[in-house]
Amino acid sequence: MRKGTREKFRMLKRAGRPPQGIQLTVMVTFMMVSLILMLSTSLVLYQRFAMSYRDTTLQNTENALEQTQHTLEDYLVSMRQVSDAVCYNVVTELDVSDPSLSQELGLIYESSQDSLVSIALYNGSGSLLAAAPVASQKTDPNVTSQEWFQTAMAGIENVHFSTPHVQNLFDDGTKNYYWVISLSRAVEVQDGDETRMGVLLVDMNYSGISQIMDQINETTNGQYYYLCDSEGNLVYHPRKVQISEGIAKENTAFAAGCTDGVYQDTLLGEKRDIAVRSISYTGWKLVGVIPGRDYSSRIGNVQYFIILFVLVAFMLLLAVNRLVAGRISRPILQLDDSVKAYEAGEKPKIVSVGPAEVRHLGHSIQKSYEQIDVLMKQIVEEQNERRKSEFDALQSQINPHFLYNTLDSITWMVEGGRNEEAVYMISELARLLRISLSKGHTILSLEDEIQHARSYMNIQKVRYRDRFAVAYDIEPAILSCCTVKLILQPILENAIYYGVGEMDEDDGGKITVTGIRTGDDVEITVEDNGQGMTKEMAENVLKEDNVVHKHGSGVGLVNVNSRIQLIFGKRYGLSIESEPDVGTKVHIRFPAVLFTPENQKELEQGRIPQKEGT
Amino acid sequence: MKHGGHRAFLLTEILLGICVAALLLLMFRGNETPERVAVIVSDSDSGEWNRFFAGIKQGAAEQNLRIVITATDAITDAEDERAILAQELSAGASALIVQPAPGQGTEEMLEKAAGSVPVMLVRDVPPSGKESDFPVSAPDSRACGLRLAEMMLEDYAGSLSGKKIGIVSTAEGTTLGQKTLEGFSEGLRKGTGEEPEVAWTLSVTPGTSNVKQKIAEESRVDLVAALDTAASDAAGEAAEEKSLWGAVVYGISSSEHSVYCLDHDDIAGLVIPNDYDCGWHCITQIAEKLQNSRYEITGSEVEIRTFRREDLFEKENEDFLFMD
Repeated sequence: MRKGTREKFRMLKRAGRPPQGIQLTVMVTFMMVSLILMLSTSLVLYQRFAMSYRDTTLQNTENALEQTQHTLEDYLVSMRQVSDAVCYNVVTELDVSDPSLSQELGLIYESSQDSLVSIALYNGSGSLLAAAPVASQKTDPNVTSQEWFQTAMAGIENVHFSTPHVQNLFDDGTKNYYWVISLSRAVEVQDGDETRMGVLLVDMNYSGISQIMDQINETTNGQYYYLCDSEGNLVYHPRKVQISEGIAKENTAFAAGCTDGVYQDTLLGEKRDIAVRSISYTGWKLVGVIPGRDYSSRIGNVQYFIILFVLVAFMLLLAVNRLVAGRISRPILQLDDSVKAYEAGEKPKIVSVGPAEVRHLGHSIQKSYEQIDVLMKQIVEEQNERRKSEFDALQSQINPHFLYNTLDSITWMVEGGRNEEAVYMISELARLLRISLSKGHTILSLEDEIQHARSYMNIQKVRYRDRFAVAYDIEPAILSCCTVKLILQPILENAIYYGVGEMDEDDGGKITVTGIRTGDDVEITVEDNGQGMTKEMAENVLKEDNVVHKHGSGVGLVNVNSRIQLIFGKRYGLSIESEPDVGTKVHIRFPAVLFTPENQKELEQGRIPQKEGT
Repeated sequence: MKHGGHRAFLLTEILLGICVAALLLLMFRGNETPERVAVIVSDSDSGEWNRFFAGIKQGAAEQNLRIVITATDAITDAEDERAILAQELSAGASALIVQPAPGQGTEEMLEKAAGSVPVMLVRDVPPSGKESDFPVSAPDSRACGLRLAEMMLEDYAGSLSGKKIGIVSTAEGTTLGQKTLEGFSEGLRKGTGEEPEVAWTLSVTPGTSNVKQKIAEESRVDLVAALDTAASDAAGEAAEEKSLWGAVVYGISSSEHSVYCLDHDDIAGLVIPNDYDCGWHCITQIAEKLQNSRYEITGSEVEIRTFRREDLFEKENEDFLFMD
């Protein structure tokens, strides 16, 4: 049930939709295919490009990280070397009270003063023992509470790098403050015979680190690099101040916990790729961040380009497809236009241009239309002929001459007291007239047609005083076949008037009517042994269609022949054999169709196909 | 039917052409030269603007804008400022960040001179007696004065009775100067006991030199309230040089010099506005406006913090106070 409903719906849908033109169909099909191909190719290419771009960007970031890592490590190593030099060559070697300790400190400071802010040696209580450059210490800097001091004392065996901070130790008179990274370590200070713990502090100028990091952060594409320590405290970040203000955020905790490699993290809902490198000696992490929107913005132009390419290609394809579709469909459209013109009443001038198939179609349509014209004319002619023949036959049914003569004979018989003959004539006449009328039908049974002929001949025999004989030899089987009305009488009429009518009684004039079935056909033969006619006359009898025979019923053999052919086809009709002074045979041939009311109706409506005569 | 098809084809091609043109515009839009934003403040080389400029530069780097900090001496009136504005506009400035000049007529001058170029005011509003039509990013001057007074009262257990106070301001003729003084006076009245005596109020116009000397010429006081950066720097210097009769200085300042004075006990307490934030806010608002002409620039009230010596080297304060 559902299937049927679906099918109905589909049919209704198809019926409701107006049919698309061929040009539009071709265009739309081409465009859809082209568009699908272009879009899928573009998508694939874009995906590949995006992946390749991401890989390249990550690779570039890792390369930059690697370079920066080495630079930073070199820098930090050099600072550490300063600390080692002070520690092993000065502090360990010299007594704290030795004035050359300060000098040595000063020399080492001067050798690296571009990168250093100060070198200082403190005892375990936070008192300054020596420093370079020489500067006055600030009043109560509270050294022991400073992180670098506490870290150094807590981890005696290690060298400690602090996060960037403002130095709060010395006042150099410039009223400036310096951001430094403190490299602190616990040292053993020689004080006379005693060895005490102290802290060696090397304050590196933070600008050394910040300049290195500023260089790789010079790009404006959204990518950035930062440094943090192993606990996630920022050492350097291009937005360090904003992060400390709370305006910006950074996921340092995640990066601090990563080993070297590439990772994905999320910050404020945005996915990012991060590359991490560890800086030796410090435990710091150098992190390169590639925000997701960086990829988007960088390949944004590529996206635009691809869309631009698709649009431009679509425009060109549309124009080209329209041209091509037009070229393909124009011959068909021209053909269609000429067919429409013909349907609108113009002459069948069908345009045949373009490919061979279309030309062939055009020629075929032209021929078909011409044939239709011819056939239409033929049909009209045949219809006219039929009407004319039927009119003639109708006319013959009530031919006044025959009726007048017969009635005259009857009158003469009545006056002569030959009542029995008069009654016989009247009954035969009545039978003849009844069959002639046949309620207006043109198709009778052969039995009725034979009866009609018999009645006619009986009347004529009386009129001709039995000067000739009539014999009937009809196969009973064919009596129930259909036949055209009034085909025997005209032939018998001719047989009388042009055959045996002028013969004497002694001459033995005879007319024989035979009827047989030959295959699917019925053949009736009317033979007389009258004067006959020449071959040429016999051939012309059926051609002289304009001649109306006045003697008899007025319906000629031509009429009989054409009526048979109109109903049954050109293959059937009359054929005449004649020989002068021997006689004449007229053969009537038509198909054996059983007489039934249905067949009668079919034949009268001309529905049984007419077979072409051979 | 034929004409309809032709029309549809033309319409489609035109639509596609428009899309192509729009895409081309979008593609090349990103390649434009960065917009130029001029920053016009009084005495641009003085240290008080360091943090403000740092915030502006950071924001400009993020927004791909070109910043031009106009080198200026003290801008004393609207006419001075008008000339500088005209110069920057003729050099192609697409937007202006301006500290309004003292004196009357500044608002009108700004409206006339700037035209349709976006303008953001910083630090102060023009002294026009009404609310400015321009967006302003500045601390609440009144609140600054109030916090200064509160800091003073805190150090003296809430009462300044019997104390003589001298007030220094180098913002005469500005709304900032007026409001700060009002706030400070209001703050003083909140103290318990008798209201302290304001022995003198030294109010000079911006750019006045020898403020330190002028302070020293005043009568002896116990406390000096410096209501702006130049006043704080001058009072701090005077205290460092011991020419301030041992008076304790409290100030409102944006300069690192004042911080130095605080570090060396020449100033007892400072109220410091968040100039970095102010600068960053200004430039991001300007950037929004330049990207979208229908965007309404919004001003902001800049955060203020109070500092004493022991607060200076706290980790959370170092980024606020010291520029690297």
